[in-house]
Amino acid sequence: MPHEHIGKNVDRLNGHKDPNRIISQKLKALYSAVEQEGIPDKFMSLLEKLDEAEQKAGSKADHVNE
Amino acid sequence: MSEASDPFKRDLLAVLPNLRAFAVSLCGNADRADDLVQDAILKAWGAQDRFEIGTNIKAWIFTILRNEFYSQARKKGREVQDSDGVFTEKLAVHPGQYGSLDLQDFSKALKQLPEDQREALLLVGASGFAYEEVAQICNCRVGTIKSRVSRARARLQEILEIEGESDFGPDRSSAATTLRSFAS
Repeated sequence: MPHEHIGKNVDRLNGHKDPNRIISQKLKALYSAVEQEGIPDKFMSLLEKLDEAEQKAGSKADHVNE
Repeated sequence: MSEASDPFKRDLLAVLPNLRAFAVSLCGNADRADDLVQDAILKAWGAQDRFEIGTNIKAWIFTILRNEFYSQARKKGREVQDSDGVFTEKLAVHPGQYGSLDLQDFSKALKQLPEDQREALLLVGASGFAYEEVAQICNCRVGTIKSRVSRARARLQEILEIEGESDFGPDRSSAATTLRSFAS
């Protein structure tokens, strides 16, 4: 019995049942649900286009930015 | 993924998944979130000359997205707060976005928070910013952020407890007693 108590309290002291810890875990789970989708293609191609446009402009400017 | 020759683009890509998760969690609507992210990318790209290499690009682009969020909300005359959750049900995310029922409940509870509290909690608790950085992003004092985060946490506990979330159930009330007996 005392051992069981200590075990539970150690859990609590480590934050396993700490409501703030639980909230943090859920926030992170929520984020990773979205993050796991990866970067949508539309953003990749948007960046691609922006990059291309910049490189074209850059080659015209002939290393002005270098 | 194309090779990251441009450090700005590379840094932007590295931040994007977390930024998108923030946007989705902040506005609770995946389509609107992606519009916000796109606007933020365009603005950041256009303003990259003003960005100082070596400074915090993550905080910078989060600031852009956040400002965009509030300015769009103002423009469209949207109700910024949804504290009573009237629109919460309608603002559903894509089906399957939050797989488990547990997370759906949590996401609904999050949407019941006032926006300023929600964003502070997300930035500190999930985006990994320090309080000082969040204060900069939200353009307010560190103390204000700390109080928003703690009110957000307290409110979330209330909501989830009322709705019978088992994780927040009887354990919480008994925790204090057991802890006290352990200490004595």
